[in-house]
Amino acid sequence: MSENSPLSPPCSDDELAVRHAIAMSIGTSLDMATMLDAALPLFVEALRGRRIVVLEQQQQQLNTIYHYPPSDSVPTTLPLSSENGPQLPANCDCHYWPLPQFGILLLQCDGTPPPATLAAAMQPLANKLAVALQGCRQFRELQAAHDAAEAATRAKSAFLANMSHEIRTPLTAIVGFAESLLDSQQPPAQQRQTIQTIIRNGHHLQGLLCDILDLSKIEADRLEVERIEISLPTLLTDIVAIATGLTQGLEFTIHHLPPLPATLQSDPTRIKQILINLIGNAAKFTPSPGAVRLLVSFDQEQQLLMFSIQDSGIGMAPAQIDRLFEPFIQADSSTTRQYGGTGLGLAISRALARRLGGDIQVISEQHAGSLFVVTLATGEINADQLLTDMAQLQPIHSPPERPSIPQLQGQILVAEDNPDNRALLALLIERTGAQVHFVENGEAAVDSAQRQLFDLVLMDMQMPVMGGLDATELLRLTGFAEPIVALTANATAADREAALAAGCDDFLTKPIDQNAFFACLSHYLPAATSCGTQCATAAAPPLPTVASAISDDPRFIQMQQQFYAELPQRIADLQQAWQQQAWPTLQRHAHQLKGVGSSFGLPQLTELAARIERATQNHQYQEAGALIPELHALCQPLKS
Amino acid sequence: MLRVDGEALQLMQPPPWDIYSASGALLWSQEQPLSTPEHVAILQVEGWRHIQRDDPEAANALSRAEALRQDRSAETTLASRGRPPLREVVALIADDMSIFRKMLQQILRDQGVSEVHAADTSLSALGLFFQHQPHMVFLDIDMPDLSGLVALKQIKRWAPDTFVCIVTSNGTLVNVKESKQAGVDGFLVKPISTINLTRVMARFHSS
Repeated sequence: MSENSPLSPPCSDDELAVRHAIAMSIGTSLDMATMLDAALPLFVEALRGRRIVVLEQQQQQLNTIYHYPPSDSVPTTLPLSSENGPQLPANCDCHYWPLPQFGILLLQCDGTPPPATLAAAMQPLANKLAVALQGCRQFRELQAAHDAAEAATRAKSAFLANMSHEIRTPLTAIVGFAESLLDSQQPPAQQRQTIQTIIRNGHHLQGLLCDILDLSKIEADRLEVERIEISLPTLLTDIVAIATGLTQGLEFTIHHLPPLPATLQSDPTRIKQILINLIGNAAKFTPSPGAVRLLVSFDQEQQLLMFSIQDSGIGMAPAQIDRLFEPFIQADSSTTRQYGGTGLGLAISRALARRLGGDIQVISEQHAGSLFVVTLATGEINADQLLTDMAQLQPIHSPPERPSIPQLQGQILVAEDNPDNRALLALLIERTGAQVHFVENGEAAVDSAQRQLFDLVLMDMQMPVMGGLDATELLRLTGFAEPIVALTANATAADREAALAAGCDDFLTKPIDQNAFFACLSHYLPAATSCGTQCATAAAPPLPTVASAISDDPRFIQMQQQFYAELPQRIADLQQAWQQQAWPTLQRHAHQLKGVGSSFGLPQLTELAARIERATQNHQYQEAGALIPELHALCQPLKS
Repeated sequence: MLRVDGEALQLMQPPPWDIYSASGALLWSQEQPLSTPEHVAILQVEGWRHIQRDDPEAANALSRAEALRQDRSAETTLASRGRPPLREVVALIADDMSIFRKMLQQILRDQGVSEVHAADTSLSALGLFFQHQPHMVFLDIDMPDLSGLVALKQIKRWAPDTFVCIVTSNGTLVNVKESKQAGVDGFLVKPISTINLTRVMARFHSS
C-alpha cells in the first residue's frame, strides 16, 4: 500500500481515515484505494465539515451503502425519479454527483457549500469511484457464484460418495455370500442362511434404488402426484393393515379425532408411502415393549388432514432434528449400522407431503420418543361432508379381512418373465379355480393365443424379446378381442395411457395387491358354475388347428397327402443347402417347414424346423446340421 | 426401362405397351383397356415400360435400380371399394408355398368369399392387386422377391382403405412395428387355426 511507501508524502489524519473508510467499504481484496490515490486530497477537501454518502441504485430507489463520517441521521434510502434524479428531503443542504451505472455520490454541506473549483472536480472523482465500485460489485457477484458452485459440487460429491457407499455395502454382501455358495462344503442350513442374506441385501438395494429414483425426481422437480377422490375410511383401513404389519412386537393403536372428512382429493399411493415410512421409522426406533400411536384429525379452517405418529422410542437430540430431513443423513452414522435404512425416507416423505399441499413437522425428546405430524391438503371440504359419528369409521378398527377368494372359471394367459412373480400369480390364480397358462415374453403370448382360447390375458409390461405394449398391440391386430390386463410396476398416468392406447383394458400394479387382483379377475371371468371345481378344472382343449377342423374334408386330405409326398424332397433340399453352406437358403427351407408343419398334423416338424431356423440365424451351423437326421427320422413313418 | 409417356394412356383404350412398376410388377398388360381414370392417373406417374434393343429410344433406357431411384408416387388413389359382405368380397393371397396358398384359398372360400386370387411372388401380387383391386389381401412377409412389408406399403399407397393382413410365422417386433406404421389391418400368425383366421376376418367388418 502506498501509505507505507517511504517516497509518499506523509498522510494527514483525515486522509488516512478516508483511505481506511474506502478500503473497508469497497473491499480490501481489491486495491481500490490506490486507484483513488490522486483523488484523495479532493476527498479530504470536500469532506471539510461535511459528510459524504454513497448511494447505490437498485431499481427506482437509492440505498445508502457507505457514509463518512459515520452518523445515525443519514437517510438509508431515497426515492429516485427517472427525470429529476434523487428526490432529496426539502430542507436538505446537499450537492450530488452521479456515479455512472452505479448510483450517486452525495455531499451533505450543512451550510458551507464547497468552493466552485472543488464542485467542478467532484464529477471526475465520482466517475473514478463509480468504476471502482462497479468492479467491486462484479467481484462480489463472481465470488458469490463461485461459492455457490463450489457448495453444489461439494454437495454432489458428498451425495455420490454416500450413494456409492450405500450401494457398495449391500452389493459386497451379495457378491461375497454368493461366492461362498460355490463352496459345496457348506451345510444346507448355512446355505439357506446365506441365501436369505443375499435376498435381504437384494431387497435393501432395491428399496434404495427406488428411493434414489424418487429423490432424483424430487430434486429435478419432476415428481408427479395425483389428485383423485379417496375414501378416508378405506384409506385408513389400508394404513392400519400395513401399520399392523410394521409394528409387530409393539402396541399399535389408531385414534380418530372427529369430525373427519369422508373423502379427500389427494394421492393415495403417496400418502401411504409417507405413512409407511414414518410408521416404519417409529417402529424401528422403538424397542419392544413400546407403543406407536397414529392420530387422525382434520383442521377445518385450513382444510388440512393431519396424521400424528407418536412413539415411545429412543427420540432425538435437537441437533439431530435439524438435519433429519437432509438426504443420506440419519441421526448419526452409527444409526445405519444398528437400524438399517437408506437415510432417504424422511427427505422423500417431506418432499411428497409438500407436493401434496402439506408438510411434516417433528417434535422429539431424547429417550422419551418422537412425534411426527404430517399435514395434507384435502381439497375443498364442506361441513356436510364431515363424519362425526365414530361408527362410520368403525370398519377401520377391525383387523383387515383376509381377501375373500372368488371362485371363477376360465382360461388365463399370463405373460411374465420373472419366475417369482409367475409362482405368486400361479398360487393366486389356482385358488380361484381358474386355469392358467404361463409364457415368458410377449412373442410367446401372441403365439399361444393363436393356438388356444383364453378368456383373459395378464400382460407384464417389461419383458425381454417383446414387451407387453407391443404384444398387446399385436394381439389386437390378430383380432384377439378378450380383455388384456397390464401388469406394471410403473403406474404413472403416462404409463396407463400408453397401455390403454396399445389395447389394454385395465391395469394391476406390482407388487400385486391381493384384493385388487381378485377383484380384477372376478370382473373379467365368470363365477364357477354349480358343478364347481370339476367344470373349472377341466382344461379347455387346445384349439383345433385348421388341420383338425377340416381334417375330414377330402380336399384337405388331398392337400395333406401332397404335402407328405413333397416332404422328402423338401428335406433333401434343406440338407443340400446345409451341405453347400447356403445358409440363407437353409434358413428359408427351415422357415417354410416351420410355417406349415403343424397345419398338417406334424407339430414336431414345426418345432424341429424352428430349431434349425434359429440355429442358422445364430450362425450355429453345426447344431443346425445335427438336427437334420432328426427331420429324416420324423418323416420316415410317413413314407410307409 | 423407360417411364411411360402419360399422353399415350387413354381411358377405355388398351395402352400401347405392357406397363410395369419400377420394382418390376406387371401392372397393366397391352391387351387390356384402361378401366378407370384413377388407374390411368396412377400409371401416368408410376408406369414404366421395357425397351427392346432395336427401339429408337433404347439409348435413354434406365436400369431397374436407376428407375427405382427416379420412381415417383402418384397422389391419386384408387376409388374405395368399401367393406361388402363376404359373399361379394374379392380376396388376394400372396404366399410362396403352394400348399399354403391352396389351404388359405380353400378356407376363404369356405368362409364364403366369392373370388380368391393367389400369387406366389410379391410382384405378381402387386400386379394382381392393381388390376383387380381386391377388398381383402393376405401377404406373407418372407417372399423370394419383395418383402410382404414392401408390398403392404405399396398397396396402402394405392388404396389406403383396403383390408391388408400380414401373414407370418415371425411375429417379431420389427415386423409388427413396420406393419403398424404402414397401416396394416390385421396380423395372421402361422400356424393358421380356425380361431386366428376368423378373428382376423372379424376385423374386416369391425375396423
